[in-house]
Amino acid sequence: MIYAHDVASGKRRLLANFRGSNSAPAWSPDGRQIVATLSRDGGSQLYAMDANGGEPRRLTQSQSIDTEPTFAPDGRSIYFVSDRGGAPQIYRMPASGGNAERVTFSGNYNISPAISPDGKYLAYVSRISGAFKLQVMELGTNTVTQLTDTSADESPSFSPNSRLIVYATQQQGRDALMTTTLDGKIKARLAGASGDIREPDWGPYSR
Amino acid sequence: MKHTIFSSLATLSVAALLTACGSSVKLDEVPVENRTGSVVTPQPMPMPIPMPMPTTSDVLSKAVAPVEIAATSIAAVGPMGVTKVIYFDYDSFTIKPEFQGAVEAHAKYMAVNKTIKLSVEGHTDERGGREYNLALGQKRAEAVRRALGLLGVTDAQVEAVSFGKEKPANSGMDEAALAKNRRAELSYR
Repeated sequence: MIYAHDVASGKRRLLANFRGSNSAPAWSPDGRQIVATLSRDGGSQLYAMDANGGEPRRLTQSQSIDTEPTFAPDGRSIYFVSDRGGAPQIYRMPASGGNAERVTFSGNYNISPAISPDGKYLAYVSRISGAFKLQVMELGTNTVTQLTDTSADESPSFSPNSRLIVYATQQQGRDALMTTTLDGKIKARLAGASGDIREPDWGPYSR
Repeated sequence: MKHTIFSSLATLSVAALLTACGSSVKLDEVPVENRTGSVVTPQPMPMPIPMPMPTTSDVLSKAVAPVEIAATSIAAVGPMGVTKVIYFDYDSFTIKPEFQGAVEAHAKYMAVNKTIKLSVEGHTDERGGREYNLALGQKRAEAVRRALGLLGVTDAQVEAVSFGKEKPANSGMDEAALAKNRRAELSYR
């Protein structure tokens, strides 16, 4: 099920509860839409929904896995993960659906895309020799930098100023919440020592 | 700087997300795995304390008294002696040839029992992303549903759902344990 939770009031409303999985919700930058992965028609496909609810509109029409959608900051395109080429890679398509173009080419397992608020960088997780490692791609040049020496990195999310990435990983066998600069040189471990840490998402500056 | 990070994190905007809740299957109801498909063998009864003083033959006859298992037990539903767990290779959703016989046996069983319903629950091992694994588990469940469909089972009889990597059958991290987690479980209703 997918809920929209109002942070100020604590109220929440149900947005999606369809047959099968309802997962990976992402807000459009204007807050009017949600794109999510639904398996209501069999495979995992991307659907857009009005933030106030209503019937989902299918955005992808593949026999493959399409999941983990995230909007570009200008709201015009959606980055997502698909195995349409035989292995999971990151693709980009118009926000209203349509032709997808492949974005990641190195390696055979690239997932969990995040776009920096300035639109210049793509952070994602790549499987390299069996380890899952945070990468950042400069979208103008397609230059990829590996940022970590850990092996279970998950769920990157950019700071509002596009200078840091928060992500979950494991250190000494324990879950850890980390930030890193985009060159990977300065890292900070954030959260307490124990517990199950997963899927961080950096909040916007309050207005 | 540190303060900025903490205050920003404190205002995490939450699109509250509970994955894989669209099914009627409750997440805390882990199906009992029964790889042989046979009825679970009852444990021997503890020796009863006989009253009044019994003969030796009385004790023996009581000691082997069978335990009744309800005929409607979930484990008893489905083709006898056929596995209800289909295992997959890493990153794969292809049904391997050694499981084709089991799929055919389930299809035949469902063709005879037209009113019975089947839930196919796809799972992955714990490596890789949560969301991608949720989709991969769905693809495994769908592969089984489609294979049954090709053998004449109707769509109305089968539901394919996924738990991704959230419900491992074996919590070990060696390859043998991971292989036990890459599976689709067939659960009759």
